[in-house]
Amino acid sequence: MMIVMFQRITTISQFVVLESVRSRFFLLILFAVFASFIIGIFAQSVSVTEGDLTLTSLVAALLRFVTILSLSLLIVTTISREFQSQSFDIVLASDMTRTEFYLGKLLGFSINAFFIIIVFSLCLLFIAAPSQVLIWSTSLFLEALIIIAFALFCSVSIEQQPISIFVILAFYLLARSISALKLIAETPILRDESLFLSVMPQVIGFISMLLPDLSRFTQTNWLVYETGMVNDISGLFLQTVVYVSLLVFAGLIDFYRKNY
Amino acid sequence: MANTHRKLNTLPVSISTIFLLVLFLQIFVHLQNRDQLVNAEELSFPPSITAFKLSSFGETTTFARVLMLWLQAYDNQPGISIPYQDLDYERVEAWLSHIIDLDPRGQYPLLAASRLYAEVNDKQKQRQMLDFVAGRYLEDPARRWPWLAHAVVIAKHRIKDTELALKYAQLLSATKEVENIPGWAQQMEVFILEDMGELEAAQILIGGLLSSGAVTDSHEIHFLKERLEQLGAKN
Repeated sequence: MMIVMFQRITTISQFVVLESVRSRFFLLILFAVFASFIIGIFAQSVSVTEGDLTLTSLVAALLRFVTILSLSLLIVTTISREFQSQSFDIVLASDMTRTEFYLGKLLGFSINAFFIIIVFSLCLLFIAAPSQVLIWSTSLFLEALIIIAFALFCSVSIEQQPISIFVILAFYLLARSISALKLIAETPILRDESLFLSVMPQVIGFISMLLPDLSRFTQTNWLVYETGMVNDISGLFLQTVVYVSLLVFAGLIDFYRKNY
Repeated sequence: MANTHRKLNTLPVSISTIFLLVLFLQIFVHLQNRDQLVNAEELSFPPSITAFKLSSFGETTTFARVLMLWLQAYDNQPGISIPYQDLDYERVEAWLSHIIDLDPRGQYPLLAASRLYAEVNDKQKQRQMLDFVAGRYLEDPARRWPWLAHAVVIAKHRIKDTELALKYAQLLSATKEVENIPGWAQQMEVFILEDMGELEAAQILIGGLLSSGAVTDSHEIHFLKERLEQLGAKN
């Protein structure tokens, strides 16, 4: 039974990858790499000093953002199209379970992320140390897994594409700034006795418990100043496993509750 | 497989014509706007470092570099060029300070301070930039010594304030235990003292350097010993 489940999951994932290839998604990725390098080289050419570091930091930041944005848009549009074209109804009518369908999609989009990051890593090897590129790209893959899981959760739960995309981007930006927000809330410069300021640290603290701290992931400093170490990403593995599991189960709960 | 697009010559003529007209109109409007008189925008004070950190969404290094490129190009706004010395240096210093706080390992802001903004024909502004460089030096002497060394040179040869040059040189030699700082930078104090006629002080310094074992290069030791003898002869 486990073998059958595994076969179905991998079949769904293969179709996800195939669909991405047919929709020329990877061409878009190559274009994004090209555009990132053009912007980076422009910034390098106008830099008086540390031009190489500027190129590396800008390209890395852009590629990180492109990874997250492209995967989010791909997931939202793909799932939305499947629901609207009712191809999902055909899947439901078969003996495939919703869990197999959901996990198949997750695996398929994760494979897409893997290919994207491989391409980005190969490009970054021209401008950064290989060991740092390896650490950075591993971290980016973990970050991408979290976003994939969240995007899948949003796509299944929220049926409107614009709202899903907005929520995913808001989640991503908040997760990246939550540690800075927490620090600011806990050390206010103004000694204000207002209720708002006294409650804010607790509110932000509570929100930070529910969010992954993405500011620890995929740090540009690793590539620019070669400060990345294996220890930096070992903690990120646990965070990724826990958070992806949380999102998968939350998604499955919502998925099973829906009547199609 | 059926072609999903029609040929261009099937388009209504009115649509194509109006499209081309509007396209030319856009180019015309753009060219008109270019010739309008431009008032130079004054450099504002930067937002708080907190605002910067939040706006960067964790990419503080990249954000700092982009800000630096923007600040560096501020003298060259569309249609107008502002000399560096016309910029409000309080504000320039505030921007540079925030950029360093965002990316402490980056050297661009201090290079800009010492080699761009301090190269103006305004001694007060030069001093301001050099003081800024000296003020941030101790946070990371291993990486920031080149800018302080340049500040010594500017203070001595451009501003012609030997006391100021000595102050900066003393800051360099006070961090002699930091490995990255080369001997010649640490010894700048000696040569400035010599130029000031403080020969005895210069002799004591060289003697101290040699006896402390801080100088290990044989050529450097030989050079300093020769210098000591020359100072002794002058004194």
